[in-house]
Order: sequence, then structure tokens, then C-alpha cells
Amino acid sequence: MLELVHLTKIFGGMTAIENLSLKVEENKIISIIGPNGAGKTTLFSLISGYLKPTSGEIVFNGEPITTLPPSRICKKGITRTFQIVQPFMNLKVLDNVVIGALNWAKTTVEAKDYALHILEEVGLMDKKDRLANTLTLAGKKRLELARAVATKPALLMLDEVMAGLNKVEGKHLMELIESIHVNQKVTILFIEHVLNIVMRLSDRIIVLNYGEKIAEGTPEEISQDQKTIEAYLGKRK
Amino acid sequence: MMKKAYLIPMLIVVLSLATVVPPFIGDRYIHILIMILFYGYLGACWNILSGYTGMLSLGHGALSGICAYFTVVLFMKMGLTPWIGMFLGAIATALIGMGITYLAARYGLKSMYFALLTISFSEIIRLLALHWEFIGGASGLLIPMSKNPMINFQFPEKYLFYYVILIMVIVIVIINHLVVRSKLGYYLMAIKENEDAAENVGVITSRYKIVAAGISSFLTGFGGVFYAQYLMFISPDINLSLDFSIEIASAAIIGGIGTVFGPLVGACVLQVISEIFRVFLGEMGSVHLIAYGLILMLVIVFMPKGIIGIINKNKS
Repeated sequence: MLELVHLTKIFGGMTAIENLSLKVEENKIISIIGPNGAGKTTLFSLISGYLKPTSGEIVFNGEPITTLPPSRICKKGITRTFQIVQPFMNLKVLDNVVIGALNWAKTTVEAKDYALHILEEVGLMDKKDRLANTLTLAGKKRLELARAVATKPALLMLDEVMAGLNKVEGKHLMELIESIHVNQKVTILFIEHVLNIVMRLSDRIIVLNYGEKIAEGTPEEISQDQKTIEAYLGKRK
Repeated sequence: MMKKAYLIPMLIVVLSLATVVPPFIGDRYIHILIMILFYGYLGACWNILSGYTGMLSLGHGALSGICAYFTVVLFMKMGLTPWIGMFLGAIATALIGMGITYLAARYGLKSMYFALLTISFSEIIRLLALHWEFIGGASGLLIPMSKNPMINFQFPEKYLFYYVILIMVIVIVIINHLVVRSKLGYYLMAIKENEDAAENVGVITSRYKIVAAGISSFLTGFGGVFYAQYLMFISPDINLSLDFSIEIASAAIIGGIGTVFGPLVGACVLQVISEIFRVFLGEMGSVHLIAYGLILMLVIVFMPKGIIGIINKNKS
């Protein structure tokens, strides 16, 4: 459904993404891993429209979306969460999700109904009338996920959702993401540092290093891949 | 939040008092009431753009003045009644407001930079009017008394103007209420909170900013026409000055930014203060503006959500 064709992004003299081509198939969970500075978040920003590539093309369901702004890309069915959470802090939890649902809903009543349904699913129902800034980090991450899911995306991009969560919170969030993947039939593109989660959930893993794809394959293949191990741990002497 | 149970009976009492009492209180007090409602009306118009999206406009005075000039010039040069002329003027004003906001959205001007853009717009309009003799130049235009006053938005009695502005205020309060509860309202609040996050969930931010500017400027235009017909006079210094824009914004900020009733409460406080100054200090130019400035600073530091914000906090 999503295809990147020879994508390159250069910031000044620094090449963040170099000649990257990849495909994301429908209804899969694909993970992108790589050391810090490998260009993962840049890649997300390119796909979601916050940055424009220096060259190359992004095609979604057969349509080029390379030059569209984020709101138009969301209308096509791609949305993301941010590495540093960005809920609408001074709005109520419910209103945050309603704004997401208004992406497709005809009326605010319809949007509110769906938002309540999503809040139930992510377990924030009891906090629906609280302001977003009163939630814990784990709560804010759930809220941001709920807001993104409320737009009814076909492709959901999650940028390090596990970062900053403890083990229990992380486990719950992971279960939630799996259930969203199944219930909403949404394709998921992951950036994640917590490797055991990546290994467990992903259908396919793409490894980036210095903006280039150095490996791609199933979790089993990647865990054996020599280049990947070198990128993370350095060369064996 | 305010409980609806209190709100509705309170509104009914206030409205019936506001309807019945004024003809009997004398012109001096009627004038004060008119000014309160007038600034409340413009503050509420300002709110739709600046209050909900956070794009601080200091050009609303000039916008209202543009519509006033448009309408008065149509009346004086072509004999078109202001009742019709003001709609043409409001459309023109809306287009101008949308044009400026389009530029701001196109070049990514936010908060402070948007404020600067609107200040320069306001000054450009004032200077143009100041030097354009066709529309009266620096001395402005005196609206001639017509033979059919009612048909031309001219009333012999002040309290009739009072009823006009009262109706305008009721309409603007209803419009604000509808906007807050609509998709547009949600989207404007999202834009104020975080534009990047809003874009991410499908809010075409530039489009909704321009829509808000259109509605806000259109309604602001009627305020300008009311002022012109009430004073029977327009001039660059009254209708297009930056002070005027600041007073409009102050009413909304002091009362409670982004709230339905805030601008009215703010206008009430400001007008009462300026009256008190007038009583004790006489007509000393713009002394009351010093008080405005002080109050504005105090409000921004100690109660950023305005008077309505404090009331809501105490209730919950």
C-alpha cells in the first residue's frame, strides 16, 4: 500500500536518508530499527508530510503523496504519533479524540460517539473529562494513540511509543496496539528501540543505518543478520 | 464550567431587564450601555478569529472601519441605504480579512508575527484614508440626516440604537455558541493548541484559519457600520485607529479569551472604568487608556483566562 521510491533527504551537508526504497504491505506490522541518528524519525516525517524529500517519491495506494501537507496525507489514510507526545494539552481527553474522529465524521455527534468507543478501547473512559495535561506519560501516549486511531487510518505510524514507559505500562500498550491492529484492520509502521517487542510483533523488520537500508527480513532473519549486529554492537575483532 | 441550570434563568432575567429598563434611564446611561454592548459585540467578533485560534489580531478596528467607510460612501455618493450597503461592506471586509489571513497562513506567520502583520495592515488602511480626499481625508465624513431616517439606519432616539446593538449582541452570542459546538470550533481550538498535531489528524489548518477570519471579519463589519450610524460621523482617527483595535482585543482578553460571554464581561468592566475616569478627571483625552493598559497587564499576569476563567474556576 505504501511505497518509497529512491527517497533521499539532505539537511545542509548531512544526508539523513539516502536512496531508500521500501514497500509496506496491507495489514502487516512492519518495524524500522536502527541506531540513534539512523534517520528513522526523519523517514516518518517525510512520509507524513512534515518534511519534503530532496529527491525520490512516496506513493500511497498508487497515488503520489510526496508534496502533500500532513492534513491531506491524513485524509488519504496515513497518520502518526510523535516521539515526544503532542496531545492538545489544554483540551479535555474526550475533545482530543473527537478532533481526530472529525477527520471523517459528518457531525460532531457522530464524532463523539466514535471517540467514546475508542476511549473505551484504549482504557481512558474514566478520564474522558480531564484535561490532557493532567494525564501521566503513559496516559498521554494512550491518548495520542486514541486520537490517531480515531481518524480511521489505513496506515498508522508509531514513533517510539514505548520510550519512557515502565515494563508494565509498556506491556499494556503493546497489547493495545496488537488489538488495534486486529480490530481496526490497520497497517502499522513502527519505530522502536525495545527489540524484544519488535521481534515479537513484527511481520517484517527494516534496519536503517546512516540513512541507508542495511537489512530487511523477518525477525528470525534479522536476528541472525551480520550487518545488523555490527551496526548495533560494532565489528567482532 | 457554568451549570446550565443557573445560566438560563440568569440570562432570561438579564435579557428582560435589558429590554424593558433602558428607555427610562436617560441618554447618558443609555450611551454607556450602548458602548458596553458595542465593544462586547466587536470583542465577540474578534474572539472567533483570535480567541479560538490564538492568532492575535490588532486589525479588527480597521476592519470595522473599512466596512463603515464602504457603507457610508455608498450611501453618500450613490444613495444606497446602509441596511443594504452594510451587507456589501461586510462581504468586502470578509474578503480583506481572509486575504490577510491567507497571507499569514501561506508564509507561516503565527502569534506575534500575525499581530505585527495586522498592526501594519491597520496603519496602512488608516494612512490611506487619511490622504484620500474622495472619502473625506483627515476630517472624515459627516453623514447627512436623510428625509427617511429609519430607512437609512438613522434614529432620532438613542434607545433605538440601543435595541439595534442589543439584537446584534444576542446574535453574536448565539453565533459564538454555535461555533464552539461545531466542527469548526473543535478545529480552531486544535489549531490554538498545537498546529502540527492538528495537521496530523487531518485538520487543514490554513483553510480553517481563513474560514474563521472570514466569519470574524464579516461580523466585525456590522459593528463598524453601527458605530458610524450612531455617531453620524466617520474619520480615520476614530474608526481606523490602532487604539480602537486594542480596545476591542482588550475587552475579549480581560473578560476571557475564547469564551462566549467573556468579551461582554470585559467590555462592561472597561467601559465602567473609563466612565469613572471621565467623571473624576474630566475629558482628558485618553487618560482611561492608561487604566486599560494597567488592567490588561494585571489580567495577563494574574488571570490569563480572564474574568470568566476565574468564575468558572470557583464554580468547579
